[in-house]
Amino acid sequence: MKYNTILKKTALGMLFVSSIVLGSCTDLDETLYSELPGDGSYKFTETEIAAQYGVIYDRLRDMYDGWEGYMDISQECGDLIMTPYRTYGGWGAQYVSLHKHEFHPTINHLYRPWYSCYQGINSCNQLLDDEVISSNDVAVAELRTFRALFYYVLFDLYRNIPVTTTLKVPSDYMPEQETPQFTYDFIVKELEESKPLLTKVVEKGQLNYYGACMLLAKMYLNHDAWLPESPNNQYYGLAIEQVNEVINSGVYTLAENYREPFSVAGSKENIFELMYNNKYAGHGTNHFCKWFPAVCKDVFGVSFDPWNGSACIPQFFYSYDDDDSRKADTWKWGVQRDQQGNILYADGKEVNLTPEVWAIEKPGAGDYQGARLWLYEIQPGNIGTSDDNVPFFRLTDAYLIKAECLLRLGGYKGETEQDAADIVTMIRRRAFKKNPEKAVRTVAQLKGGSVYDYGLRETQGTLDADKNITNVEIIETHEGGDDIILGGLLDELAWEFVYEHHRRQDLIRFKMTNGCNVFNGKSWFGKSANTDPNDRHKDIFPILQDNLDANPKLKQNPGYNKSK
Amino acid sequence: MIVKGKVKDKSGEAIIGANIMEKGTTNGTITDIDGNFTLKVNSSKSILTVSFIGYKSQEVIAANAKDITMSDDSELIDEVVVIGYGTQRKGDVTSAISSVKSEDFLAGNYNNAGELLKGKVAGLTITKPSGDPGAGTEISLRGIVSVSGNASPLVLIDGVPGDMGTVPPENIASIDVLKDASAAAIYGTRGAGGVILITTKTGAREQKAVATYAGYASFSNWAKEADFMTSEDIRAGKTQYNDEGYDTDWLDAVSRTAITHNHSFTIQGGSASTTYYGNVSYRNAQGVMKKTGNEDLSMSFDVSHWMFNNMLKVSLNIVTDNYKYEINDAAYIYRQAVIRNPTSPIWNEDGSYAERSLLQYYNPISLQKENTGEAKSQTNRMTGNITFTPIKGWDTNLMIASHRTTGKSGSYNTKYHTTTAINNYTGEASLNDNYDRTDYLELTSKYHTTFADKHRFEGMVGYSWSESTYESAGMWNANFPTDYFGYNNMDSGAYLKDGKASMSSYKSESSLVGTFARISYGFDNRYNILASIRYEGSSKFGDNNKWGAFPSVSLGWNIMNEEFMKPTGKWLNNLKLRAGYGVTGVIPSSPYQSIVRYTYSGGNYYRNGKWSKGLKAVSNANPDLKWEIAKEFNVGLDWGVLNDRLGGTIDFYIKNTSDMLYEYAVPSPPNLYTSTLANVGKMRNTGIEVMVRALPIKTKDFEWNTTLTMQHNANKLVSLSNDLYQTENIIWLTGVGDPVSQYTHKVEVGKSFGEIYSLKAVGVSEKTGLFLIENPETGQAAEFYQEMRNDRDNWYQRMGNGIPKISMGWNNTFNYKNFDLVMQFTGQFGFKIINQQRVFYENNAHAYNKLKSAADAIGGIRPLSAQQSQAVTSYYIEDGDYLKLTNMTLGYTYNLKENPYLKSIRLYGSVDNLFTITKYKGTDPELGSNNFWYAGVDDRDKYPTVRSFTVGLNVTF
Repeated sequence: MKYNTILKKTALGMLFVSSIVLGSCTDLDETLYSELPGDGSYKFTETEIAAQYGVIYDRLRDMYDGWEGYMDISQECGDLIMTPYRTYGGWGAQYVSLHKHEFHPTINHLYRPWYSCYQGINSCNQLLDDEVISSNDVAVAELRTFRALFYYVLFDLYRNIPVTTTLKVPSDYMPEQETPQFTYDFIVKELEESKPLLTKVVEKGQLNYYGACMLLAKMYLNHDAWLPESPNNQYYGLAIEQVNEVINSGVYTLAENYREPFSVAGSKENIFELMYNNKYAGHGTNHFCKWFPAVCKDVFGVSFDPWNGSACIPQFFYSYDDDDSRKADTWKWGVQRDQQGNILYADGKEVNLTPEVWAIEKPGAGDYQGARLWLYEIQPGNIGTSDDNVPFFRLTDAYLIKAECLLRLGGYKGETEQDAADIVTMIRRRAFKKNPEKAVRTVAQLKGGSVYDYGLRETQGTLDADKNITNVEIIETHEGGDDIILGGLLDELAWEFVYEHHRRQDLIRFKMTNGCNVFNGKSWFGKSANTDPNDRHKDIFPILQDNLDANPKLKQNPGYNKSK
Repeated sequence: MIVKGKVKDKSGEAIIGANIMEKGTTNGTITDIDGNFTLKVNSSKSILTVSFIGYKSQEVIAANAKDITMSDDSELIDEVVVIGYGTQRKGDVTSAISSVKSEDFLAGNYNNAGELLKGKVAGLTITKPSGDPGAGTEISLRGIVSVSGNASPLVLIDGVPGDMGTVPPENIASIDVLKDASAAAIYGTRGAGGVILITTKTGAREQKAVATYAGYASFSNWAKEADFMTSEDIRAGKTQYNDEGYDTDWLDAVSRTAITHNHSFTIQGGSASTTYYGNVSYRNAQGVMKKTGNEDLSMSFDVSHWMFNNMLKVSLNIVTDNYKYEINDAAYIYRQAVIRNPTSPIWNEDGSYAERSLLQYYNPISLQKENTGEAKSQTNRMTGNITFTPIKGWDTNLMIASHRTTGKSGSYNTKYHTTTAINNYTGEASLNDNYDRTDYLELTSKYHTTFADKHRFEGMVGYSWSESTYESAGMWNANFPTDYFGYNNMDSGAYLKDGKASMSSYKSESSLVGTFARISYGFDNRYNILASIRYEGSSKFGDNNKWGAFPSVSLGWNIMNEEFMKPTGKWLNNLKLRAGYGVTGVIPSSPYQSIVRYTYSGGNYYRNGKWSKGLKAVSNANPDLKWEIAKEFNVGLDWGVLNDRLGGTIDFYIKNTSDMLYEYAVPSPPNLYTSTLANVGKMRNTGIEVMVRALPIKTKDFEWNTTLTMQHNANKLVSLSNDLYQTENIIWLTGVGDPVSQYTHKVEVGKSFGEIYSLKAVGVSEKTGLFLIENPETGQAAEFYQEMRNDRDNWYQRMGNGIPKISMGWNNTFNYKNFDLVMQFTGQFGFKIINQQRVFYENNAHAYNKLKSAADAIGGIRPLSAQQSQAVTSYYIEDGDYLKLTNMTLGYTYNLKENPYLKSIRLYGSVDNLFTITKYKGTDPELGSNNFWYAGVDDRDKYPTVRSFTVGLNVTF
């Protein structure tokens, strides 16, 4: 009896406890505290939605000037700069295949432009999907222009790319690649429709009406190079129309000197800039750290040890006119001094940066081989170039697009080839201030061959313990630049845009008399020519294997099947 | 009548706490400190059942109970093992469970329960790859359980989750390991990695107060030092270093003979209705690297009280632990010490640190001395249990527990600290704190009975709830006006005013709720069956899959109890066949993985004339997210012969994991984020575990006990795709970092994890000093060139696997009179190691110090030339097989029966990591098992392992 009472009480007690417990403790909902939930349980405010614009700017910077970004991949495969294997620093190997045009689907550089451009596109699509934003024509035009810019970069590099314009898709949707013609038309249409709605007001870091003009001009300028199956001269005329709007607006003016667009102070020449700021978004390591040997930090009063990497390709270095101030404005070579003028020493020897380099690999480059780039302003302080904005489009580019199209068309709407030569001369004047007559370029010079001494040019061998090269094998062929159509203009583009995102695009656009483009058809330091005009598969890069793995609907670009 | 008696063991020692029951009644008592008992029984013919863990139960007639001698339970069948939410007689166990008692624990310089278990449980691989005194052990049970969920074994301390370091070893009474899913399924989503049940010591009823002191001191040094070039070698021009005229032993300068001392004091006892146990432990452990080490003060108190004629038991338990360790980057300092020029001075003539301009090359003394850092944490575990036993055999238990940890850590680098100076900071400081709280509530009710003498029945139902909260905050500031403050005046750094200081905080929450039930039935000590189910839900799962069911069933057949086995009874003591099947789960390791989350990590951006923070999605939605499922089938055999002087167990298992959690790369767009955590892949682990124990020698004075454990596991990745998530079925991994950054592993569907792929070096070119690499297709050798490193499809070959095929432990205990000697060997066999230290430093292309072996002629031809960049090739991939004398302990016990103050004194000396038999050239082939993605990579920046000499003293008062 006593037991039974206790039992009953216990049972009741247990029931009571269980009901509290079970009632309150089967709740399995999640509460976020330090992140915003995007599952609809919280409605974003307008400011929160606007903050998603941040991703667009961030990804623009990243795709362009992030480590192994668009600028890097556009330069490392060209004939102006290289990052040779540094025999004693032990790095640089990852650039060798890009330099030698041995492209394959696992090159690191294939990652960042793809990843960041599509992240940017996602953000544009997400904002465009928003009801409030989509009802604002100006906002829509701006987002479509940004998105077109990302697609432009992807199109330039990979050509066969998926195009998406919304995030509102079924959960099992896997994007497929579009044809080059489709994507080309898409980008042009997006820009043509958006441009009229964009502001003409110049605001730093913003893509305005004139930015859209430049982007359209680029699309038109490269039409024949990117869609070689359907060449059409008229596109050069369309490009001129676009840059004329920029030039004639008078909103932008050419910089007084060559380095001004790359300075902290900035320049009226810059049409669209990627904004950097030491405090909020420091400019990365591509410009100082990637180039100079550690000891050279004292040249600029920078505290951070740079990594001793990239170098000017010697053939390009020697292509400059000695009176061209852009040479010294771009490159550092010779004996290096600190800011007080004292010669720098390393291992008891004077630090002397020689323009000569042994080889891209086997053995690679010695510690102090190769001229180094100091185009962007290097400020005393941490990374050196943290505050420098990147001019994505600048007025000189507009002028030289116009010159190129005039030369390709033999004149357009009353403007002549001589006008093209005059433009080039005008641009060159700021580089030949001491020797103005050398600034003059004639039509014949521009349409003639290149002065770049193309051909293989390496000193291969092995290194002994004292860092001297032995078993030397000189690899030297001579191709010259005479057979390059508009070679004089191509040289001008090199000297002017040496470490911007130009070179690969330009080399693919400029052709040789044998029908090849310069990118494939010429040899230079460590890179062999491919003289088959029909083999143009290297005009575009393979798609990164990881991207193919993530989406089985994607097909590798032609010529890059996994097993060679 | 009243029976007065004494219970002794065969050597005449009193047995304390032995259970005396009058058969067929609930009347009973236990023996006191001297082994004596007094019990009032019905008649002189009443039968008394005498039992105690570790001894054979026996029945005696009350009249003959004056002097009871219990014999060792060498059959071990009656031994009680801990299973989830209860205990079971070993003979009734139907699944793979291993049990280790405190007397079998190793003695030595250990602060982690994992070390006590090392080599003692077949199937449980325990390694300690680091010499850092704060480092724990790495544990893997039956291979790789999960590729990205939380798959380390669930460790329960008296039923409350914790880890192997939660309780000081001195307080542990036994450790039971639930190895297969039929045993672990009762723990549902936390069971797939196995369950380790730690039972702590408590007082016993009717026990005189006993106080014990246990203390030891330990002296540690490097187990093996890497052989780098000395100053003579530099002067002989064997490196790229210039002779700077000094002679500095850098490693010596940053390391020391480390001293550890550990003290533990325990009081335990009990009256008829109350028991108590209290312990205080203090440990001060130095690391061999200077400025590493920790201090731990831990106190625990446990009290139980029986009320209402033993119907109600209330237990209160509190453990508080104060832990402190020094923070510095010891592994990196170690690297800097071994690679530094031994002819360089530590200081310049003006007293500043001597620095040289070279990439990632910093004065290790500066890194060590100019940094101060300390992390402190306080953990409180509070547990209350109310057990209600209204009738014999029915227990209902309510457990309420809370586990809370608060931590605080601070670190300061002075302006003289090399990397701080390089970053142009005049001092930098960080300060972090965290708070971790988990509350538990568990209600269980179980009933057990035996009827008609042949039918044993047990049933249990329960409910469990837990909720965890984690909060953290941190700050960082730089450019302090003085080094005096350290991290104790955070706001004085100028970076705060410059807008460059940083601050962070975070909070997360998760909950886990389950109900469970189990029945167990045994017939005639011959056939046993056990079935359980847990129905469990977690907040971490997606909306579509909040709850899952985890069933199990297992069978045991005690063959030797069959009639037909009678003839073998003379030599066969035990033969039992077990078979079990169970389903367990693995839960995602972090909360919030199923929902789209946005953070202000989208970069700062300039718009409308100002800088703002960008908002960015950092995950994709996956409302289908759920637990990983592990279905395991286990079959085992327990046997014992020759009066159990030889016996063992053998288990086979097949464990199929499906719905494996993995962060899948997804196309973006349309996905916001480039990867999604989803349940897709499949994996299989199959294996065999063998344990053999023997008592080969047993004389009056001398005894040799030996136990061998061995396990083999084969892993196979079955799939990494389904309709929604697809992969190329191959994942290449880069297991050796900058500047080598080279592929080392290929994870491929249809193969095991840990497959090492590399360039096969077949020699060295006499002319160029470059490796000759074999082309796998043609078999021809070609000189190494840089691009080979990336060309995994054309140049890489399989080099073996980094996961040991066989792990073993061999434990020997010798007793001679009052001496005891323990020798514990552990070994791993059948695996390859990528010796990173050699990859980086047995090479002549870099500007740092080198291993002496860099000057060796490869294949008698020549050393590598300065042109051969640092690269992973087969030349650096070695056999890892090893056999280690993990622990050797010699002890002597004085029994002081006549001493009124002291009962016994035990003195011992112990050596950890005494020697390793291996061909491996690195410092230690014992690698961790946690990072199975990169199995076999021996990190160059590891804190090398140490050898410790310990002397210890245990006194019982």
